[in-house]
Amino acid sequence: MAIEIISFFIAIIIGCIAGTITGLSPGIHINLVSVILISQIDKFHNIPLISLAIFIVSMSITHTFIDFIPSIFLGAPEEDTFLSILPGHQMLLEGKGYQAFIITLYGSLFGIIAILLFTPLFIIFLPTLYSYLKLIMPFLLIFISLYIVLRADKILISLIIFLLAGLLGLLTFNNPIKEPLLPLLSGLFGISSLVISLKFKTNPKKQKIIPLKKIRIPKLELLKSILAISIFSPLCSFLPGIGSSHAATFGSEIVNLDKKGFLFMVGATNTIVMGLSYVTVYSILKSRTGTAAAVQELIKNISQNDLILIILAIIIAGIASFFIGISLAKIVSKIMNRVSYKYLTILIISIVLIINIIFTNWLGLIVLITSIFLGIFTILSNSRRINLMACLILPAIFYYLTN
Amino acid sequence: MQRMALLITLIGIIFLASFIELSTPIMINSNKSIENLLDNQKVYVSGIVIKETQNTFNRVILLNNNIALYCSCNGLPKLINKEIIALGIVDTYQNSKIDVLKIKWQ
Repeated sequence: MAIEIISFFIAIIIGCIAGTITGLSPGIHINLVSVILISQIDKFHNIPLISLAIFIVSMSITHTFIDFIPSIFLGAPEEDTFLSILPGHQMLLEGKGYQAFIITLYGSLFGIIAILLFTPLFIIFLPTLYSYLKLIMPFLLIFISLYIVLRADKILISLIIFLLAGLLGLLTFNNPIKEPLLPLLSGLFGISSLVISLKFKTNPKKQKIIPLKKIRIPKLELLKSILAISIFSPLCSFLPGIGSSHAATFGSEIVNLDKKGFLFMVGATNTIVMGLSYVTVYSILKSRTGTAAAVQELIKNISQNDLILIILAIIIAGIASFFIGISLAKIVSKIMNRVSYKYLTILIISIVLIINIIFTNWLGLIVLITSIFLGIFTILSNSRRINLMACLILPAIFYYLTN
Repeated sequence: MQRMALLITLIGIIFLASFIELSTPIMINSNKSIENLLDNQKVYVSGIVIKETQNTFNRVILLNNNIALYCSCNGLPKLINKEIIALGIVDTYQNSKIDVLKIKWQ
């Protein structure tokens, strides 16, 4: 028993370390680590399978807390965090990058509480409701698409960008591209805004590190954000082709949020979607994230006891990641204040390009170039960059209408 | 710069669309060779049909070289024991398989 408890905590600690590394490195995804672990499973025959599963769970939860650092401070996103670049980068320019990141941490911590609240509901209702909710999803996506386009001041430009991004997404997911999301999202949301920063010689103010007590979200924004999280995050946790970015888009379009409310929502959504994907495996035996698939591969039939251990790991890893995140944000803020933003931007663009060259193939680099220029076109035409979300929304609509 | 950005975007999109249509399929002989390919890679596969099953949306065709083909081929006759050649795309979601685009049999 004592050995089992020790191995449980060791798995969480190693998971937190691995999640911190993957969270800080935009090119190294948790799915990649999980795939490597599964492929080398014979080498871990002395370790109980549940400990390996706990490692994956802890790593993925830590990743959802930490991966906002490259997204906010460096403008180098992953598929779960790219929407945070938009308000996060604005706050960074105002010298509030640290605050922006802490708000996503608050959101992620709230996400842990939400996971606990939604778990019994998922176990009781999901097996019955799953097929009905799957039917309404394409119509919800079409409604959101129309809403995004028609809300814009320049409807024609907005429509053009929406259709181009959607077409680019469809072509990316239908071509033999290695790690297709990496070039698509780092081009549309990352490098494009960094290139514009360089062109217009943007210089962020000195990053301020202020006490946690002073980092607050107005009550109304918090309530609106929690409302959006409660409706859309669980809905996007168990359906195929839909993830935290869709949940954040739904939430931000339906509920009008300010920068802080939006960052809180994105932070929470990211963690909730990840955490509930493990509950979904238990409830309806379907895996909706790469790490949930890995856990399902390790423990073929997740028992109630396994689920309790997984939930416990989510709570412990979540709390630990909150404090890891604060320490890392302080270090990154201090570094930001010491180096020239121009050279830092050039360095980041180079790193993201190198990551793309390493992890994708030549066709992926075509996607990267195309998405960089589509991102630049969107910024220069003063359109809302939420239009670019069509790169994920249109493929999801096609998936639901054709399957 | 705005117009140039739009132009490069359009060129990229046209190139990617053309690649789907014009790329040359690879010939594969075993299930193992699918594992080395990327999703959406066009492939030719041939073999003798040893098993056919119908699920809700697809017909699953198993070849003698252990390659599974998923085909939404309505009106197609039974292919069991026949030699076929199929054009398809690699799909590794959940397990390695080929989604059939065209199929010919002898």
